[in-house]
Amino acid sequence: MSEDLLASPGPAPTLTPKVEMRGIVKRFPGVVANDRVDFTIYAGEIHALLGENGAGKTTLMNILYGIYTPDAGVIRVRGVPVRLRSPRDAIRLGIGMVHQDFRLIEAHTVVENVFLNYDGLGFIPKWSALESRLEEIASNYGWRLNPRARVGDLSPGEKQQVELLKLLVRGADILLLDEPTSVLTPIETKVLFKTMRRMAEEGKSIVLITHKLSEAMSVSDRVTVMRRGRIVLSKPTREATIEELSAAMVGGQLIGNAGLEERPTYPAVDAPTLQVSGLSVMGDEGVLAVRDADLTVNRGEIVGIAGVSGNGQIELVEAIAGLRKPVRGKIMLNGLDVTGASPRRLMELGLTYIPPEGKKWGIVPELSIYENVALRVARYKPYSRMGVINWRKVAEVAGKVVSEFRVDTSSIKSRAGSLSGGNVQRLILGRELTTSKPSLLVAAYPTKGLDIAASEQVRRILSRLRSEGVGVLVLSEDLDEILELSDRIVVMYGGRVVGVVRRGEATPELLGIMMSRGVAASASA
Amino acid sequence: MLRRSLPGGLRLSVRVERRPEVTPRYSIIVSLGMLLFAFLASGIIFQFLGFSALHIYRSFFTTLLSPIMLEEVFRRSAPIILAAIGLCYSYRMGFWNIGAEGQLYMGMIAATGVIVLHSAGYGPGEQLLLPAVVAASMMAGGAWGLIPAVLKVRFGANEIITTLMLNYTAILLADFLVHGAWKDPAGYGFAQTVQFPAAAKISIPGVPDAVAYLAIALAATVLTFLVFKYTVFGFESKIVGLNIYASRYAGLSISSILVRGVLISGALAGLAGLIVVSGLIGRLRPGASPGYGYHAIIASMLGGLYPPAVFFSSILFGMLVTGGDLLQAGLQMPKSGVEIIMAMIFLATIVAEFVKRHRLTIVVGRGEGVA
Ligand SMILES: Nc1ncnc2c1ncn2[C@@H]1O[C@H](COP(=O)(O)OP(=O)(O)OP(=O)(O)O)[C@@H](O)[C@H]1O
Ligand SMILES: [Mg+2]
Repeated sequence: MSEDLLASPGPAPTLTPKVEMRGIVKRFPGVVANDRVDFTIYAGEIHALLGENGAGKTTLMNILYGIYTPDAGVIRVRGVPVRLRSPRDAIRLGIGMVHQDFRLIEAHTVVENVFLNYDGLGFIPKWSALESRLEEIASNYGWRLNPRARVGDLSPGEKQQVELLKLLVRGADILLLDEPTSVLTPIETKVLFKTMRRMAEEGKSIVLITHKLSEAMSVSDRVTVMRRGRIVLSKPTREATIEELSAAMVGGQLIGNAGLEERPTYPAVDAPTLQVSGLSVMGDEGVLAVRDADLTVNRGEIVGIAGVSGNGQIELVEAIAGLRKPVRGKIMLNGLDVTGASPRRLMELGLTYIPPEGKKWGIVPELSIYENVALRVARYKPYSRMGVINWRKVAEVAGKVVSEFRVDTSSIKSRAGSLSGGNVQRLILGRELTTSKPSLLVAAYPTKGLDIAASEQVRRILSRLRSEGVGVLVLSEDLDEILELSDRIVVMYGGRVVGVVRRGEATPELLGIMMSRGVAASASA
Repeated sequence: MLRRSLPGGLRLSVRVERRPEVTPRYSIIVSLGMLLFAFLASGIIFQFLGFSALHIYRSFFTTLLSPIMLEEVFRRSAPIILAAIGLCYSYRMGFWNIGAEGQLYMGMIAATGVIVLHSAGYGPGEQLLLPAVVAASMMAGGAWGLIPAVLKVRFGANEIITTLMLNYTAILLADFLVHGAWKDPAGYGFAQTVQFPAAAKISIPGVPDAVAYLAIALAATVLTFLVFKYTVFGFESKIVGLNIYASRYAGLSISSILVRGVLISGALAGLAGLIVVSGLIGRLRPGASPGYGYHAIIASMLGGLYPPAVFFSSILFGMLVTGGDLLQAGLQMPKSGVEIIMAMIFLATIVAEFVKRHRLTIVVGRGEGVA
């Protein structure tokens, strides 16, 4: 061994593969989710895995995590061929995964969640020792996480840290993160990336699935693109360009940024479709999550809600959608007092709502796609008459939803639960926008989990609705998206609306300050 | 995941994996397989108790399938079918109604009440007697179901507890009436009510009663099948059972759906009670139901809440109930012998649910797999 190799600074990505997947094939009824995939993870690298919705990214990681068994192919971990039969096997080999949706018990504390189902716990756990162990790990990565906090009280960024802790205490050094940034604010994303870098320096390997190319470019060492179940590109990130990656994702033809429609003149200010005044809403913890909020959305206007998550935005939109009863205040929809009205009545009065957690609120995974469409329309004509459902009509509109919103599925009879993350979101959006004629659209994280083209399509739809005179209220963690779409931006902090900024006056810096300090900007309208 | 080391460096491991999709055909095969298993396991128990399982089963089925006994099987299956079909409405909404027995008793009590009034010279005349007992039994059963439904919707009361308690209440109420106010004065002091007059009996001219009862049960089955498949109510009740968040989001009137579903459950159990009291026994007496409402729970589960399957699984329970008497009379085995089979079927049903959703693979290999 030569001298200078020993002295080489830092643990630069060595060329010993930690994981080698060779010729992996996984078929589901009607699709080949992974088609002879070769995938290699080296020690100490951050490996970005990209691809359109339904490309097979989650499936590949699920295979490596022992959730699915491949139909063909071999997996070698540190050079040894392995057969992974369950996540337990994977964890024993140091492989850990954080899923697209958090799998935490909200009512339990951080330490309880982390050590749930942990092998070396003994009969009576020594909680204080476990807590200090967590604190040690957390401080190593610069997290401020109280082990005794209830998980339900944590922000998405902190929940993510809990998920990571679960893996770290079990000694994972190969971490598979499935779209970890889709629920994070830019600041939280930065914290996560810093953590990932630190982990890589320690020699851990990280796979990052993301739809944001800029994230892949900025944080990863190596990038792999999947398309329709196959690997179409894999190279060191510094040799790749954004154009090249997005071309590989869509299969050659570059998606020209079609841009949003021309903005017509600023809408008439005096045509409010939604007026919220003095609204206070209780959160799940029994403290007010929204305090005395005022908000107006006019016809033909997009209003964005910006805020660090956990500052009352979700509770606010849920109250508007009728899913939470306000404690105080008034909600007017098209001039009608709808405070405390049921979701159904609101729907019938012209409100359409895109929920934040699609898999929990928006669909019934056990049912087929067309039944999930029926969920929303079954009781209305022409989908039913005198209580009898016309399944043919339902199937027709389901077919339309699937084709117009390009839900990637072999049939409308497939289980909705078998759709990929992004395709669930497409199904929900498609169903809501195809089957309703809203005067007010309230969309929470409408582009969450969508690939670039689909996000672009959704933004175009929102701005088309706007020009058709629909009032749109958008909640998003993506500041760029908010800035691009909104005519006005409402900033929330500590449950209060701390400012309203007009298009043109808003900059990421201004919003950032307002979001993090709750200072009302002088530019408020 | 289970792993055992076998001699010679061999390794045995059982892998449990969630199945992505459960096809109906697979589901039926598993259920039938587990049913077979239940009979096998019960047979082993019989053998241990010193009876010949083969003998028991052979005489059991040959006797039950003889024309006379078959009629009895069908008569007794009818109330089980009706109650089990009713329970499908509750269970598909995730409302764990174990109160069919109580609802059935209330149906019996209400129908008997009409007859007691009638025999005392009040109430409906001869022509209206049948519609009156049908309406009374269904309404009473429905009302008995309504109580736990409303308690759940209003106060979040756990329906398993409330429905169970209401079973005892209904059974004790029947005892109280039969021993007291409703005791037949001409009944030589037996604790029983007056007999149901012919006008209050369900019958189709020219066919045996068993066929008439079975026809009603079949009608309820077909109707329920159609309701589940084609109506908004049937569809929405399934959604309520599967995902309460999505139900709220989609704007379903959850309370109203829940109340309606449980009401139908109770009404069908009440109708089952009418068949017991007017047809099978001819009057109300203590212990009039040998637990039809409980058999219905297992039958509806075994049938996977799918009405046509529930129809047949209920007939199986009708056979077991009839066979219980047979065991006692012909084979000198306590009647409770069938309860062993029923309990085994119940366990097998639960295991079948697990087996349907998971894939089990047994691998024997040499040192491969993860270290
Ligand atoms: N359990 C399943 N049953 C049937 N089909 C499935 C299942 N899981 C995934 N699929 C299908 O496999 C394909 C790949 O899905 P996968 O979830 O891996 O996509 P993805 O790349 O993660 O997409 P996204 O960006 O939308 O999350 C899709 O067509 C999906 O419908
Ligand atoms: Mg995915």
